[in-house]
Amino acid sequence: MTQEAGTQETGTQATVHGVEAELAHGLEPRQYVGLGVILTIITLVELVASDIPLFGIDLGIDLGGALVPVLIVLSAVKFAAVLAFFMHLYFDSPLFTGAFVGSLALGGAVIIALITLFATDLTAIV
Amino acid sequence: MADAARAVAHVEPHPTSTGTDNRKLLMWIFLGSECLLFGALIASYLIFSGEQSSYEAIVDGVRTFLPPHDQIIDGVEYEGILDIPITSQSTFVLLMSSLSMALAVYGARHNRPTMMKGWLLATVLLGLIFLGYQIVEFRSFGQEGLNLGTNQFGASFFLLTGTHGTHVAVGVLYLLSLLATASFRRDGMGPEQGLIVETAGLYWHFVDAVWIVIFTVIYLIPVEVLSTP
Repeated sequence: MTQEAGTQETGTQATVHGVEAELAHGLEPRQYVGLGVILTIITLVELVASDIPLFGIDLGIDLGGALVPVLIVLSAVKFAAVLAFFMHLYFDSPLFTGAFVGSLALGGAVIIALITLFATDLTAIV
Repeated sequence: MADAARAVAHVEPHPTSTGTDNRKLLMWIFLGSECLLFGALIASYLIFSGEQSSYEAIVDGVRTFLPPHDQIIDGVEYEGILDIPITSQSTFVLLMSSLSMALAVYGARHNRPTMMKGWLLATVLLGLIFLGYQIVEFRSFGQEGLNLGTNQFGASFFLLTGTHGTHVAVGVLYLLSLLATASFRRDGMGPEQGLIVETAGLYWHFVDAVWIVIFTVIYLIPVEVLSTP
């Protein structure tokens, strides 16, 4: 009887620990909301950097040649945040990361290859 | 301990050689293939974006240009056809739909059916609003003379954003099917509802992530249209 009770207790603890580990997979609701706010702010920064009037206010910002790299970096940050936290890639198996990031790299290579092969003037994008 | 007791029903996963659920792995591989699809479409947009001929159009019998952003072509200033402030609103809507989907997944994983269904419904509504914005934009472009067959820019723009919009529409139907299952079946989505909703969430978040790239490439990055020599 004592052994059975011990076994049951161990089994229950193992199940609880497994469930708790599964529940720890991911963020809490308030953290998701915080991340949503951050992504919104980054989007607003992109608009300001692009000299797009915000709520009727034109800040007249001109980044010149730095605009494209700034936009690429900001969108890459947003993309990575969605992937890592909304899609749980940060918390999940590395197999998922390998499968997706590998395809993403291949997709990027496709873009670069097609542009290199067929674009008549690569300086068209300011 | 109380949270654990109230947590998602612990279903022993079917053993796999990878140690992960095959359905989730399948979704990730599918999304990887979608990266190649959208990569090719984005590349086709970028390839022709600098050529003047990509924006030529005949509107009301008059030869003109319909560039994405304000441009001076052959000494004449043309107003950009894209309405970035309006598209920024739709971008915000899609971003918020990603947030609501994440909260729906949280509700599913923590066995809170009301939270799950509420945020799934919110995601569906936000997705429909985004599609509404797209339809309004497409119709306004059509009225200004830009359609799928007008010129290279029209073809690549509508193909890229139309493909993305189709993915959003499919996502809306996907989420509606989950809502129906959760609402009308006796046992809802069953003990694996966390996995089912999370897998759907992967698809939805990917659609949002792709829009992040499309919005930057098409709407934000200015293109200098070079005159045809």
